[in-house]
Amino acid sequence: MKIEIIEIKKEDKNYPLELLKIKKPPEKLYAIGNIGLLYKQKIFGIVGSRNCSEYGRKVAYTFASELSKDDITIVSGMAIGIDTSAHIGAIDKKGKTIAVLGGGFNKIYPESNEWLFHKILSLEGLVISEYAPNVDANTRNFPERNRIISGLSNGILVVEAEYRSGSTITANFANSQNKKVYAIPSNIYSSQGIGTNALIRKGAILVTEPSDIKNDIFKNTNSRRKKSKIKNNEENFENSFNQNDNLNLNNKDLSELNLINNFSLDNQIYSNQEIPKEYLEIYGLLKGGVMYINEIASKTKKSISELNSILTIMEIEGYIKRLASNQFEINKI
Amino acid sequence: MEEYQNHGEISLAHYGVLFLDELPEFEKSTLEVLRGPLEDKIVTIARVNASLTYPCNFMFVASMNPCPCGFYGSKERKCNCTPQAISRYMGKISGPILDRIDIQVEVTPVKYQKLEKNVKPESSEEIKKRVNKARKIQQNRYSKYGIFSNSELTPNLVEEYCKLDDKSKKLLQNAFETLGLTARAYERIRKVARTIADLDEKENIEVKHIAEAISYRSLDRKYWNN
Repeated sequence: MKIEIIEIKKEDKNYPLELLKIKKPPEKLYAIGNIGLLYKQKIFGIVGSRNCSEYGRKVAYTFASELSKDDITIVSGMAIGIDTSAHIGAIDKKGKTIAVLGGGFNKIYPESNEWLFHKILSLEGLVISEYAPNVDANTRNFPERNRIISGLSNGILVVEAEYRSGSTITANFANSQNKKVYAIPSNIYSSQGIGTNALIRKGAILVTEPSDIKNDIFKNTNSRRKKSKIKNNEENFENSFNQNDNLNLNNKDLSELNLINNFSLDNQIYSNQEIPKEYLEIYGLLKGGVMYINEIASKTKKSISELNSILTIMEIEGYIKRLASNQFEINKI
Repeated sequence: MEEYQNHGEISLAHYGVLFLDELPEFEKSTLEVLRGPLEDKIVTIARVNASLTYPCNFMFVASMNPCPCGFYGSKERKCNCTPQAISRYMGKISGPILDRIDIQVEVTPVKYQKLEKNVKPESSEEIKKRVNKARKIQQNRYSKYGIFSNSELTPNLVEEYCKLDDKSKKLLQNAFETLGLTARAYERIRKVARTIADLDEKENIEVKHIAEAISYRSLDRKYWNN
């Protein structure tokens, strides 16, 4: 693949305006790919630790893919862990994504993510860096490049961060750039969630669903900003109440309806009338949370081989998900 | 000339079982060597003076942990391995090797109390009876071809004896799309489904048999399709 590197200087007309507003804008940007993405209206950053948990990876993937559906460009740092999941989430939904590197293009870090670099480019994504192509990736540079991630974005989501991690630095940049910071709450015993929980304590907005972000910054942002703070707060409060009521209702209805609907789609094995009642039984059980296959077996009094068969069909139909060690959960996507 | 009579472990396992415990602890190059013999059931050893071919029709069985510390995916204990460490560990077993393993089962850690009071499991003796019955069915079915079991079916015989009805075909198709299985798995899933149907004493492969066979390829997609 022939790769053309585009250089954009700070003085150039096509230098992204958003970056000029931040402290210490990069003197020069090196870019490969679809540079049109730099001027998009809706850009959102998703960051988190490299050493993340399965939970964090899942959250990053889900949020990135859901936001991509609304034509929101996802920016991240192409590191392993949360960053990778965020990029993949966007790519899987054919969304656009920007990777901001902490080194030059010839020194992709980590090397194991080179495939992602090519994948992003092959799907009209964009990779940028403030470092010349032959500069080594240095973890010391990573906090620096985080200011670009937050600078380009309308807001950022921190998925998982350890105590004093790079992601909390990104959050600080975002905060000083007047960008909204969102954070995913974590189990208080998880070392990977200390940073994010601390961010929430300091005032980052707690989010549990992608729609929280969509409703917050990608709708009516301009009109709200002009109103006085107090009025704004009051209204938000009221609005959030009303909205939440509606949302909850809809979600509930949807998930129940989905159960029936999904099975009746054309490409499904069973038509509506045929849905075996054990599917509903298992679905009901899993509503209580993640379960091992053994637990499901003892509750439903079915043999493992029979369950294997049922669970696989349910998985293929998109109802449930198989996790490591034969655990199952309801598929929320 | 005596050294020629030294067979390796693979040909010693001819018509038997080759069991490798802690599979990822073997050298990657050692594991890759298994690919040919697993497929062709013969092993060729090249020495300075001669190149010898031995038969090695064996059943390959292996065990492994989900990660270096062994607790990945466990609800009770926390896994301390980094994602890199896990993928390095799992990466020791290449996709092509994994493709050749027809049945992959993840076992759940069981708490001690549960071990005691859980429902009475099927005894090994009963299982043996069932298995022998299924073997018998297969031997009778394939007597004119000189083979013994479903695993030995050639592509043509798979077409003949592992026919799928429309529902099963649809399920398998969907499975490939949604679960990201490799194309090589296709024929193997059908063979395993045939065996499950034999255990169930059914003439034809049904949807539930195919579904169960698909569930036995869980490792394939979990760790290698990132």
